[in-house]
Amino acid sequence: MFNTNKLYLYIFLVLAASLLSYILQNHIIKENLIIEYFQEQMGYERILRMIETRKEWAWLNYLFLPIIYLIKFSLISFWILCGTILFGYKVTFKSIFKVIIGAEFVWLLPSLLLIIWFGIFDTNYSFNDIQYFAPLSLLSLFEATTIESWLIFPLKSLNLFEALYLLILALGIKKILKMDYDSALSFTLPVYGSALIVWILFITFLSINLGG
Amino acid sequence: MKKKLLIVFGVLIIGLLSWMGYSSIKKLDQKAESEKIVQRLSSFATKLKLENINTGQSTIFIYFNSDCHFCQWEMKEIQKNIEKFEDYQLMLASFEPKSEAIRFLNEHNLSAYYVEAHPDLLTSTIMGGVPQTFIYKNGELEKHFKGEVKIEAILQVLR
Repeated sequence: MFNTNKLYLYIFLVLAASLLSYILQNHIIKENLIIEYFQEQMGYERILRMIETRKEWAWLNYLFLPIIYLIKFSLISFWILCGTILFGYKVTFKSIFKVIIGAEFVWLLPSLLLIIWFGIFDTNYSFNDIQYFAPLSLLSLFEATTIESWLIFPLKSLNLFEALYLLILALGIKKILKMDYDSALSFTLPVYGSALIVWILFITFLSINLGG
Repeated sequence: MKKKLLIVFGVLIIGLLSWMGYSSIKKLDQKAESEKIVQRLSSFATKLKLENINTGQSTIFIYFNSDCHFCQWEMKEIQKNIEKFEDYQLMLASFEPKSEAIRFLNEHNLSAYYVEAHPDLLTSTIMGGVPQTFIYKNGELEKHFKGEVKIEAILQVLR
């Protein structure tokens, strides 16, 4: 994967993520689930109007996805580049960027798992079940509806996919820094780990301060 | 040189995280305090310095802003169903200037229900955006809705 052309890899990633998002939005998050979720508080016509608006603007998700990916990859690449400078390694931003694109494929797995889970195994689900679906994460150890809303993101973020991402990222780092896997892992763990901690703290800060 | 820059960058990040941590703890304390205050109509009214409040009567307190289209919808619905609120104490409060709020409520014939509270008191007591609806029965908070809420849902709580 790390040998494939960077642009092709990026396009393939965007297409795969868009396809999963499309399936999720149109076949998993069904209208009746949204109606059921909001009907205690909102009138039926208002909910239908909200669903219509959601449909009308759905294309924006697909439009922004490649841009969001670019920003995300640039931030992680920059952080790792800082790490290489700090640890005294020489490597280009471009080569790190390519590794990050490759490793990102790991994040298609949770969406895929969600689609398979609710599409095949647990077909009698609610909107809340989808919202708090976080397999292999710390959140799955708690009853999500009973904990403080600001704790959801950090607990959801600490999961085994993150560990898998780290291992794959270390594989790419091993290749570009031309070192053995153990050394690559010893480099990736503190560098990516610190980025993850900063990100979790930042989002938690936003959810506490901007959330109701 | 690059390493020195990185150290400065690192110090800035740590500084920023410390500030975010401090702000978050402060905000969580404020939220906990706010949750305690809104539990009872009497403490809520005292905190907002509201006068002439009957704390024993079933009450609907709506926090709104004239710019918010959910609030505009909410007020339209209340206007249409105002006779259903006759037995209850209806209070409408906004953090915008009194003249703006009254002008907006006049459009819906609801200015009689306006209660004036200082914007700083409102925003520090009620966390989050508008609209929010607090429903009190026997002086105790029975239900708190965030976002627009249909009239039937409000009345169902009060019945």
